[in-house]
Amino acid sequence: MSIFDYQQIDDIIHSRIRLAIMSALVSIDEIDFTSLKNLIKATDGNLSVNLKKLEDAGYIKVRKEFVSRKPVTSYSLSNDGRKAFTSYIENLEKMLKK
Amino acid sequence: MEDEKKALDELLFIKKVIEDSKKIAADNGMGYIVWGFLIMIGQIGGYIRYKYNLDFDYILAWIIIIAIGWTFSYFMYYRRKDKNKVHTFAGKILGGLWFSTGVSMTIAGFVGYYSHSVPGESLAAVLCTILGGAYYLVAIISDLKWMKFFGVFWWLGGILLFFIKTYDLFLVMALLMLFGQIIPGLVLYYKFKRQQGIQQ
Repeated sequence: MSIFDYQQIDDIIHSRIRLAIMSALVSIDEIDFTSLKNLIKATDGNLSVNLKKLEDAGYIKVRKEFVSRKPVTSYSLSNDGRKAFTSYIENLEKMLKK
Repeated sequence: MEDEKKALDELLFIKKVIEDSKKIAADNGMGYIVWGFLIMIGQIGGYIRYKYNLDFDYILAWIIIIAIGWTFSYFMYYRRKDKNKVHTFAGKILGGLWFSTGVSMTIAGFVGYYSHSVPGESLAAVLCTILGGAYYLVAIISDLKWMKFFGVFWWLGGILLFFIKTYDLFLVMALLMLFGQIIPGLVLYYKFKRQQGIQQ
């Protein structure tokens, strides 16, 4: 049986860019779009699409505000997202212990 | 075997992203450098005053020095808050730790001195001991093992200063500031600059 079986692996997280976003948000309370883009070295479009997928799944929280009259969108991990990420890591670790 | 390799690869990737995330929220060391420099100036001023019997209001000079330090910290805090859109829990704890350490040192320094509860010659030793605790905690929170050395450095410096009763105390404290505050500040500053360079 493959570890990347749909029954074990969370499809929402199981993509390089979404995994990178979740990993970044695990260690950071909140991060803005530009800093996140620079951190995981993604393009604007790709990042937006994948952030939307995570947002729709309820894994991340989005906050919009104006800083010095400029709109800034910040992202943070939701409780569901944290649980999903922990479970994802546990699945990977289980496979390594087999 | 292939699956295990994939799983390991994923975990290594996660680890790398987490490490990179911690780096972008790193301290730039400016607070260490500026405060260290200000306190060093104050200590050298104290030494010159006692050594050459100069007549200037030493307490007023300290009030000005500490006010400059707090003003700098205040502006740094707001500048960083506006500029830096990355917030970490560790960053919040570190900010609180340095703020509370600064308040404790300011109270011990001024109130302790004015109330005669802390004798003037023991003041620097007390401040060193508080600083040692702060450095040790910073090392643990920031996961900077080398910083623990500076915690021990300040505690040993405090012990040393408790035994010095002459005006050489000012010079020793100035040297402690140079090696125990400005140098770690410079290390953090260059580390921060290097990381910024890598990320751009």
